[in-house]
Amino acid sequence: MAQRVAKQNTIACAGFSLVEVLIALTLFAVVSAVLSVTVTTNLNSSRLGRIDITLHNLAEFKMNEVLISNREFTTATNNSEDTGNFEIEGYKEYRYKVEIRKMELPDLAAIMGQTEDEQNRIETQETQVRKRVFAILKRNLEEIIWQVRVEVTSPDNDFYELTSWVEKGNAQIDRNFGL
Amino acid sequence: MIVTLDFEHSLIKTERGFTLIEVLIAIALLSVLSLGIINFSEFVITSSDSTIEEDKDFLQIETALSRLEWDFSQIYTPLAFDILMNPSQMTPGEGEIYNQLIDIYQRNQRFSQISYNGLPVPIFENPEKDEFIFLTTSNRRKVANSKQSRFAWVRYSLVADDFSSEELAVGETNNEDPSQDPTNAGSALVRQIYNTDVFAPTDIPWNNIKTQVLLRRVESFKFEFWNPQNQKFVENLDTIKNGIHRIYGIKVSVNFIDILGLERYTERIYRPLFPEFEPEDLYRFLRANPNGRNGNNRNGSANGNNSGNGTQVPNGEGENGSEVDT
Repeated sequence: MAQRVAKQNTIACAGFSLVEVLIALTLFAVVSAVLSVTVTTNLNSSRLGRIDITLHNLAEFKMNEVLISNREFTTATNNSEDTGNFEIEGYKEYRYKVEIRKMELPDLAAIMGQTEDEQNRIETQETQVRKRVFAILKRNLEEIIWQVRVEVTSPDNDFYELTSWVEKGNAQIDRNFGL
Repeated sequence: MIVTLDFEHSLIKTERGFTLIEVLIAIALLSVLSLGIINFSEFVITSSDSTIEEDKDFLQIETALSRLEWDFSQIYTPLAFDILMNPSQMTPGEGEIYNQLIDIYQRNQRFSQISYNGLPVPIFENPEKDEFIFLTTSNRRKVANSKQSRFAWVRYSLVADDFSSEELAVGETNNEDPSQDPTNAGSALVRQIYNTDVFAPTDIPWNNIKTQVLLRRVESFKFEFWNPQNQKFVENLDTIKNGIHRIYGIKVSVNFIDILGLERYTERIYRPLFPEFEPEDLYRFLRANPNGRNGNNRNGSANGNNSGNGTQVPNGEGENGSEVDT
């Protein structure tokens, strides 16, 4: 009997229970975790933003260099790929890759939403002329307009890409439509 | 009885509070914990502060250079789509009109010749390697109906940095580093814009035009210009054929001290947005079709006394004495 009373008394005077302490600890942990996550996210996004801007600037540098330089492609360099490191002080670890690709226009049938068979079936003199004109137009456009892609990679393998159109400097235009 | 006594004794004992050791341990634990918290929040504050400062610094140069890009991408010259007017191809009557036209634009050093369609051709200047004066269409009116157009003369230059705190660039704070010698503050990249009357015959009073500070603590700054002939960047515009009239590409190299006191270097290439092609020589068609132009060419082919300029100039009859370099 006396033991029971003593026990009850001890319980009442024991301070926080284990559960209470655990809840308090969890609350503290959650709050501090949220705080630290916010801070690290902020710092990280700032760092990533800076990396992105740096890579973008380098890609733009390369792209402008390609666009102002002599763009006289020959068949040998049709699908050329140029890789290397930047020669700018402080950015020598950054690598670039410049690709120049021929643009491909779809055929007239594909543009008009027809299959080749359908077009052959309803061939009139007008569609023949249209087809021939388009073929020459397509050849000329593909001769004049090319695609260029610049890829920049940082020493930490962060990556940025820019693409653009580039017109060929020494394009040979076929003016003979044979009409 | 003893049990009751014991009970009372234990009761008193539990209500006596914490022992010294318990309190000491609690204080020790608390101090360790709060030290950790204080450290952490200190770290949070300093790192966010430094990030903001560094970002600001980073943004500063990005803003400055994007201003350059905005101006350079809209550099204006009629020679991007037009050829130069050639007075030697003219009849005396046309020559007189030509002389009147050129007289309007040759009263100062900013325009020299006129294009085939009668547009004045501006002269770009880079007197120093860190100075560049050019005509651009990047101006935007800030006040409705003000007498301005898109055209503006812009001058970039590097000047000694003696700007007071009110004139500091946007986003710049004036907490001077005491270790930094104020006499050695470096240079500032400034931009000046003249947009009120771009065709005025008087010279531009650059010294009276307000300067806009783009970047401070600049160690060195250099403009280079693309020479399409040898596919290289050169420092002097005069070495490029027609370089003072047409810009193909501009390379900018900047060396500046960042907020941490470290020297930073960056290079950028800018290009005008005008497509880069050589405009057709329209005189070629006039020569090919002599009836298109009365008299002049016919005389030339009849006399056949082409001199000096070879096949370019049919005859001296069109010459009218105006000395124009083409």
